[in-house]
Amino acid sequence: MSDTRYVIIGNGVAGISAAQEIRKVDPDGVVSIIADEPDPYYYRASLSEWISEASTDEMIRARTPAFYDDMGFETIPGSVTGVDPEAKGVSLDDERQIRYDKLLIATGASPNRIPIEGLTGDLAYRTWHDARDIKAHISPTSRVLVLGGGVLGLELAGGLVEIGMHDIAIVQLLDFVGPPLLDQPAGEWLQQRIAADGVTLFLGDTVERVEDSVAHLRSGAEWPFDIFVQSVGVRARYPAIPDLEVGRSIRINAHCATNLPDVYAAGDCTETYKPALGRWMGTRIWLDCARQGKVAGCSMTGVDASLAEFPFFNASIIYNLNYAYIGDPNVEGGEVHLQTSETAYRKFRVDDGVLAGAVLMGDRRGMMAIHKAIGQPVAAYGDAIVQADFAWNDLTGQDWDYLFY
Amino acid sequence: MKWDGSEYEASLKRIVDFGLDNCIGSNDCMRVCPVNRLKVNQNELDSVLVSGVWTDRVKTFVTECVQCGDCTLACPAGVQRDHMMLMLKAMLPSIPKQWRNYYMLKGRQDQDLIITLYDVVARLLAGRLGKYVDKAKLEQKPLLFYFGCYVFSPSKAPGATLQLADRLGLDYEVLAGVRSCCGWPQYLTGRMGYGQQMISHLQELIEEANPETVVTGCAECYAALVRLKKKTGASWRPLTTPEWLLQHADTLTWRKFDTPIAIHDSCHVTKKLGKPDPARQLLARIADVVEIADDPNACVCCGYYNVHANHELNEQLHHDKLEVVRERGAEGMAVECVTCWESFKEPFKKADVPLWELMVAAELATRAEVAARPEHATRGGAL
Repeated sequence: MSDTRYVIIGNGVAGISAAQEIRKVDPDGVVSIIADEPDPYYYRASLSEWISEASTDEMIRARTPAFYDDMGFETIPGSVTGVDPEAKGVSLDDERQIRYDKLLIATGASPNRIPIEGLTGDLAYRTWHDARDIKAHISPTSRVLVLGGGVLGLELAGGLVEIGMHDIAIVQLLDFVGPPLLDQPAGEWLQQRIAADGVTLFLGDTVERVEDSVAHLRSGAEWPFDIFVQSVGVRARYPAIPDLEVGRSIRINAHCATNLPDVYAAGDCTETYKPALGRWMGTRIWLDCARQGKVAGCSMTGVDASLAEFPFFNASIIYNLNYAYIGDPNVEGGEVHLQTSETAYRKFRVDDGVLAGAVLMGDRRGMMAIHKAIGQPVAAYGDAIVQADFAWNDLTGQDWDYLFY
Repeated sequence: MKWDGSEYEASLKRIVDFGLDNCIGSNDCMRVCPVNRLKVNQNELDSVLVSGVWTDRVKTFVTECVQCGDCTLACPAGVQRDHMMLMLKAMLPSIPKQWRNYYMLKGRQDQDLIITLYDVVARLLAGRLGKYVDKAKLEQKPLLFYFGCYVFSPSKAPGATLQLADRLGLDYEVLAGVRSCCGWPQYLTGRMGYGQQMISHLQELIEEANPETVVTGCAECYAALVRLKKKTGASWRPLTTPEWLLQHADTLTWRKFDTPIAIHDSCHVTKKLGKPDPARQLLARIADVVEIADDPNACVCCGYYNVHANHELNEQLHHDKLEVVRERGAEGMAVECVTCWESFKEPFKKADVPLWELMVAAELATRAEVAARPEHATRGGAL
């Protein structure tokens, strides 16, 4: 029987993944989850579908309301104002003190907001709360300005187009949309689709000031709007903790431990050191957050676990298209094999004869097997690898897409 | 290489872990599911996968899942929801009563005496196919027809297949009977251990016949053969019955039916293994082909009898199927899989719409002496 008290700050993917893992190993320990968002664990990536009413409240919840009780998780609503690693205590905004034996910080990230002259009432797009704000303000005829053409901004614009809205402008500082997942050619391919939907793109541009609900852009263009949404990246957020090692985010090792004893961190509030790149990299992908949460959960129970080095994998929706980003497709060097059509974009990068990465949009056939094939020799197949029906399963010796067959 | 199937169970756990980590909550899997009458959400399934605490809704849904794979094909995040459903089937606290009717004796090595007695009766009832039922010793032949438990199918597909092979003058052996079950009924009913036993036993039986080609008319059996070949590196080649017959099609004389016939795509052959063409090419020799879905992957599911779990649900699926067949102007429908045939049999008979198992139709269309008689289709043609 364990009477260990595990305290998890954060009720998102990293926090819940850790809690689930703790419960596997320690059925009796006390697992307390401190949540400052009033909503239960939900899927951020589906908020645009919630706004468009394709998904209901129930659908975007990642677990049922009964799940917490079923797992014996205690939820504590509140915001953390401080952590005392010496006394092993967490302070909440209502002045409660929570004692911990093992602490996980999984507090996520907050959206950046750029101060713009004259701009008030602008919205962010990150949390369910933000999505509620957007939904409360939109009507089918609303004119929308999305500042930022990254994945999240594109997803929001794509979701609004799906419900028949067209007076939408995306203002993007770079000359193309979709970075860092998309490089310029991929971004330009996607731009054609976005423009075909009637969405206005202002590229290499930004909003300098706002006057009477009209955005004045650096290029001199103007865009009158009803709703102004900022989607210009996120920054890690975490409570102030004395002596905690941080860079732009909390620094963790392969066991998801911080430099402080019994303090772990996982998810969007962390960064990990990438020896190949020689620098610390922030965590931004749902799958990585889940995996970090699991490793942190194991480490907190004393089970040896570490973050596995596996090729990058992210499959989701960009604008309104399915995409997959696998390995390192956008690094300079190597050969690029590309196939594009009106509906699909398939790029593969082969370096030194082996598959280094792929970006797939619109048609992602083979993506799971392609992930397995990273590092495999493919030079002999030449351009054939771009074909959607290329037999990746045969090449890898694994029938991963349909393992059963 | 010998394969005992246990690797699959370990792989299943990895697939479930990936699914739990990578689901983004689009709920697309549940939206496209043909049997989700309770409107179950993916979070209900994932909660049970993690906590092991069941709700009645999830229990019912897991019982009614027919493993068509539509969910996996729809997922924007690459989550294999069908495999996660298979894990839930394996986790069910007790085996639902209706499933017992489905698997009955299939592959039950613990029911040896009962199967022996059953086989005595089955051999008598199976007519000319009787000699192949759980044959004691298989002869070594380059061509092996694998009928498994569908040797007893009322579609009469096995008999038609052998008639075609005889017409072509081929030399063959037949693997048939409940002892050579492919393991799919066991997986479908959540019994991973039995499934493993079956696939392993099937491998031994095929090795005994030492064939170059193994031909089957059941999509589940075909899927099992493809997997077995992949895992063992066996030299034999698995073929569906349409693939096999197409190889010999030019040596037969075809008499086309004078009515257009729709084509139904099976989950396993078309959706999961990506082979929509052979059945169409074969049907094109028999009749004018009518497409009933703009995309073969969007074909309405047969319901797989819903594993006998929910007849009302199946009636709705079959109603939708009959509607679309009529709408597109077809005067009958052809299937490439005997399980699909058996699932559709009753509603098509009731609606007086001919339902063709492709081998039965091909046998009729290549008879020299008899004109095509589509009205016999739903009864399964003549042996």
